[in-house]
Amino acid sequence: MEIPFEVKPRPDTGLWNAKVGIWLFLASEVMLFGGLFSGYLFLRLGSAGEADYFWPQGVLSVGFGFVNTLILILSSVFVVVAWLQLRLRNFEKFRFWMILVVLCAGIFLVNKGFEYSAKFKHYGIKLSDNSIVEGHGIDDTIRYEGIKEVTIDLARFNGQFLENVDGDTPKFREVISIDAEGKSILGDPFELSEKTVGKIEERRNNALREKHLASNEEKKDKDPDFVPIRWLPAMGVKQVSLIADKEFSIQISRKKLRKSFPDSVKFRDQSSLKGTISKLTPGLYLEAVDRIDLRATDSDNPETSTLVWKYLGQESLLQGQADHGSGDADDGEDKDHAAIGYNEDEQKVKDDSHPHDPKKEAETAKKIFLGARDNVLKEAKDEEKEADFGETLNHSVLKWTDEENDEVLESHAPILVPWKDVKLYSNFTPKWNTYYAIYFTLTGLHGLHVLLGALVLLYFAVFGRKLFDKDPEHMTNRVEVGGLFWHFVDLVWIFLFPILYLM
Amino acid sequence: MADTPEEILKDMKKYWRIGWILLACTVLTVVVAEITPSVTIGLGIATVKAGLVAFIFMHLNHEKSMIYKVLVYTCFFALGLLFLTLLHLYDPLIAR
Repeated sequence: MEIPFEVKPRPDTGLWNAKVGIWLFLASEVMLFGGLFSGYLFLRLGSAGEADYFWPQGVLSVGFGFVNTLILILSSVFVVVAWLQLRLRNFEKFRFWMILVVLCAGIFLVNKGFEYSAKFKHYGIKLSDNSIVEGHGIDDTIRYEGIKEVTIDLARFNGQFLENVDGDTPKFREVISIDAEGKSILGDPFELSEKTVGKIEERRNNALREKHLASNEEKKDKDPDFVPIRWLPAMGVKQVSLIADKEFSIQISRKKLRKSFPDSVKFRDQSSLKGTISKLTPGLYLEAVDRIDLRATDSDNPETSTLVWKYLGQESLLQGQADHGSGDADDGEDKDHAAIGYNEDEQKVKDDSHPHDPKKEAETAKKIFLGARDNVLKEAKDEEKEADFGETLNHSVLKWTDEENDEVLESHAPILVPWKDVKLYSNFTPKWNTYYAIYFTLTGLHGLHVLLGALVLLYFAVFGRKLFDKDPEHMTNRVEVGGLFWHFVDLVWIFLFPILYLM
Repeated sequence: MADTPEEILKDMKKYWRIGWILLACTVLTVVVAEITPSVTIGLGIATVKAGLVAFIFMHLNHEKSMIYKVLVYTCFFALGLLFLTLLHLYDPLIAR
């Protein structure tokens, strides 16, 4: 059956079907992105009030955003040129320009990939006094020692902690009951696994059910009007305590845990282990701090008021040990860099050219921070205006030129923050703050549009010949529709670029 | 809409010209942001660029009335969403 108005316009609206369709779709897209832009505005205006964090500015590489904007604009021109080539009935030239569009989309997405990757590898730590350090080379390995007592959730147990036992996995005994003197009565030793836990659950619940049913019978015997209570799974046993036949240790990345306390640790499957944090892993380690932000601490005395100076320059005790892997150990490949353009080889040469003294590096970092702060205050004084709060207590500590002494200071200081003083830590993802939540939502959704749009346009370029030969007008209309979508994608980016990269 | 090859080639030149203007506007946005971090100027230039894309590349300068009707409704509600954010001024936690 032939569909009417696929090529020729309807007499009443003057439009062919696909054109109406694409504009209705674009209208819904305007609402979608409009909603997200409103969300951005709301979050940004909100952070200017009494939010618990400062809106990050200048954290994206303008160079990358700029290049991507140019690429999308060029691709928009290419799309329209490709469409005009079809109208001139020149399919080969159309194909050439369309493939250029797809290449532009590829470059755009690769650039975006670099940008995302830098964010995934860049970490921030919020200390208990609300000061913030940022940097790369995280080691969040945490080791618990002297573990004997374990409590597991029968329904959720997935054996995660067993995979992180350091050395041989011990056998466990089930705590069957506790006698009058408070002593545990233990079952036979067994190898803990999901299967054995399933058996324990079945055995215990069977026993409870039988007891419940017997109780029903007994009550019914006493009272003929008694209505028996049905057995429900919720009445079954939830947790079971186990004792290991020898003390053991676990070593794991902190982010894989649900909660960690000085004397116990809880896994995501609710398994709770009693033990103490090893002296080998007293805290969270960041290999190179590149930014310090003291805006939320006592701003009058930044020289002394923050915990950052106390912990800056402390090295991880696990450094140099072969077996400290939590599965996330930083090998050369996994080094994360604050800024795109960070040259690892260059940095290594610098590191090797002078002995790395963490304490000295920390002193330099402090000098850089306080020096940069003094510069801001001095400049403000010279210009007889109030110094910008955001610029006074938030500085990169990688490099600074001391103009008075004509000296260039560079630092590469590590930090070791004791677990008790780690309020929050994360790479630069939505967990870190709402800026990254809206940044990833907006750019991720836009990137998805670029990808899908490019696939459709690639389809036209590769498989469009047949339709073009059969009905060139139909093919031209299809490309126009695809082009309209592509221009819309460009249009969204035109707004995303200034609001995310420049403001 | 241009139909003859001559008119189409003329259109092509126009699209390239608009493309260069858009690229120049992008450079201008970055330069202005370096000089003054003005939100108004940045968004102003972005709006001009978006206008060029919508009116020239997407042919909104000569479309059928049905499309304008759809877009007018859409813009009304999209702008409404943006203005909803102004309600934050009445947030009891901020506006004491």
